[in-house]
Amino acid sequence: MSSQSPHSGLTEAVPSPNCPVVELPGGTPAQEARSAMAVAAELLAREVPVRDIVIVARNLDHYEGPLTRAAIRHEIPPTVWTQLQIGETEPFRLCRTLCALFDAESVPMWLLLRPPANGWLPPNPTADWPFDVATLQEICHHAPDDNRSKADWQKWLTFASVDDERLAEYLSWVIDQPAEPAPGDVEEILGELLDRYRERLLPRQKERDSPALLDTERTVRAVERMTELVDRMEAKYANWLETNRASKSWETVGRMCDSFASQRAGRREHGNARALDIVEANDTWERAVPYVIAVGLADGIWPTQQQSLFPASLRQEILEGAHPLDTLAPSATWDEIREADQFADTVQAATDALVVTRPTRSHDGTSFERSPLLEGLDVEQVDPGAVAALRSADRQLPPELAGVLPEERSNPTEVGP
Amino acid sequence: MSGRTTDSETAPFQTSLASFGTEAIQSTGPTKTVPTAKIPSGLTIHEQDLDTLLGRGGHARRPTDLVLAPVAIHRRTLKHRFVCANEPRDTLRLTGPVDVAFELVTATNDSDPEILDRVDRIPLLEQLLQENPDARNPFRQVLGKAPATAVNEVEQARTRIETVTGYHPRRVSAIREWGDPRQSTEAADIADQLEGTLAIEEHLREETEHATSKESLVRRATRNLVESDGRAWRERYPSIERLWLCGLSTLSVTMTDFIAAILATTDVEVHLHTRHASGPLHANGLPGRFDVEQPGAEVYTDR
Repeated sequence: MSSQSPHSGLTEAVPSPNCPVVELPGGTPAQEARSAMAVAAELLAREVPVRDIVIVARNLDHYEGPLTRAAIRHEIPPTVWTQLQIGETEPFRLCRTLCALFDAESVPMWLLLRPPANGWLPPNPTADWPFDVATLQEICHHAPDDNRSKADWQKWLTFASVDDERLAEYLSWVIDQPAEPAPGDVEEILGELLDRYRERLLPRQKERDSPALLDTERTVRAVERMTELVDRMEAKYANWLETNRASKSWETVGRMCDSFASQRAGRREHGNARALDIVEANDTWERAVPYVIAVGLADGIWPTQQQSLFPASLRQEILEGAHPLDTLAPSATWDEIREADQFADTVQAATDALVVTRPTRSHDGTSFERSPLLEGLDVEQVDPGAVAALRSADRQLPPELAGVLPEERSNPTEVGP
Repeated sequence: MSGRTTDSETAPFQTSLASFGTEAIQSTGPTKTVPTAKIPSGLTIHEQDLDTLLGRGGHARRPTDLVLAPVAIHRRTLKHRFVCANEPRDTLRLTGPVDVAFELVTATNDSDPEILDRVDRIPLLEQLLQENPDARNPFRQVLGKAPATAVNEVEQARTRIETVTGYHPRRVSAIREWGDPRQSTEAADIADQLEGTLAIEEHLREETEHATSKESLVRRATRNLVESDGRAWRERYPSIERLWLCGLSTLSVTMTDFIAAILATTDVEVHLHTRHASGPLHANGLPGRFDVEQPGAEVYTDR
């Protein structure tokens, strides 16, 4: 093994699987996600329980969208176990906008009306709540463009005969909130709004949602996550005030919201026993699942080349452990070791069959090479044309794949045309 | 590999090397000296073998095994494994390294330590990079732009230096010694990152009494153990006989120093469960990393 390939060591780093492995190459990542989901759909059609299947990506940032869209296409509800982009969710926007609103001396009407559009509810909402967005837009349309104080807007609404009790109730609530919030206020005001959101709005959203309940799934995660953040923000805000690190203001609380939103958040899940698990590879550690479908086995996706400011030659010497550098710790992000760890975990998690998929080109046509992580594996490779046929409406099953799936129950003679 | 757990000495080092591909390693380092250091006795490395840990389940009035898995979802997986095996786990307590460090530090301190997390650090970094040339200038050289506008990159470099050196005097000088004789831009890059990070850390400590990171709290706990000869451990974990460390890909020097201090000041056995690809890397590198005096010491603590 004197190879000087940038991936030397990766091949040995992957253990032997406990089951057959089938490789499905071809297409863009979006098409690849559809190949992966076609396999899941086929397994479900063969009455494999959904909890016996897991879809694995090294990093779900780029695969969450394609995989969930493909799942919807197959009418499989997915549960995505990943970091949530909290900043892009309604519960976050509700809290963040209120901080901006409380902090500002004068505001435009559109900003004032944003919280009711994002799910603000009064303490005891009547059946009229929440506001429909059209009503809010109508009011906004008639209002002058300038910035005014909240009290002035209250007068304007009376003067303009905007006779909506809900709006009056909302505005007096906004005006009543403390200008310099104590730490307890943060939890009390924002936390209670989130509670009402959970009780009143989530059930409504679920009714209107697509069969996969994708929006509800995401919003449930967002409400839970935001509630937890509000808790943490209260503690952190108290601490910042005690140590004179920040001013007692909604601006401080708002900035804190922003920092949390830009952070890679912790995982949140919404337990749904009938949904298909889509997980990141690190989460397969020491798990055992009959059918594992791993996506993105292309060089540059899994493994990716980690950007590091750490000089390559020093990295290499630390990895080699020459004295005195042997006292230092190498990072597993070097040499893609962590990614190999995660692939090893994925491989070992599969007990009955492992299906790996890989794109061969990106959306813009750049081609992807096969991942070096696959090199040491004993794999049944399917022809890209047959993989495309698997994605077709009649889901033609290539024999390599049919061989590792359980028997078809309902119609045992027909294994694809 | 299941079941092959070897106590101390050099055996895990040799076997692991073989499993990684002996030729590859030997050929890359012709000048490499055979390490004289050994893995401390009391430390056992389990290469992807969870069976020993799973065999520790049972009924007990107080836990005898402290299991550290930094990733919450891994702790969940472990619990699930016990449930599936229908195995009680009163003997085990599952937690994370930072929680243990916290408990150790509070055992000898009256007040609870506060820890800066990333959300705290980012605005502080932004401010101190603007105010302090000794932190700003080196990073300007490395990044080629105003560091205060690239705080995330600075934070990433800072974290990496902390993982690799733990600000330990001996390790910090190892990097300086590597860079000093070299005239390359790479050497200049690492020198700038190291000195910039050390300056940042110093200013953070002027700014706040808080532990500047989670790792920093672990080092504080490490020093407490060394200074008190394990008193904090005996107070907090009187019934614990074994410590397990699971699910890690990177084993920072802060963690190896923590293990070293526990082994030196208590009777606890330490079991390190490694993962497939990184396991040989750790088994290979651990003797050298344990061959350092004053675990948990920092260039700032002046000891």
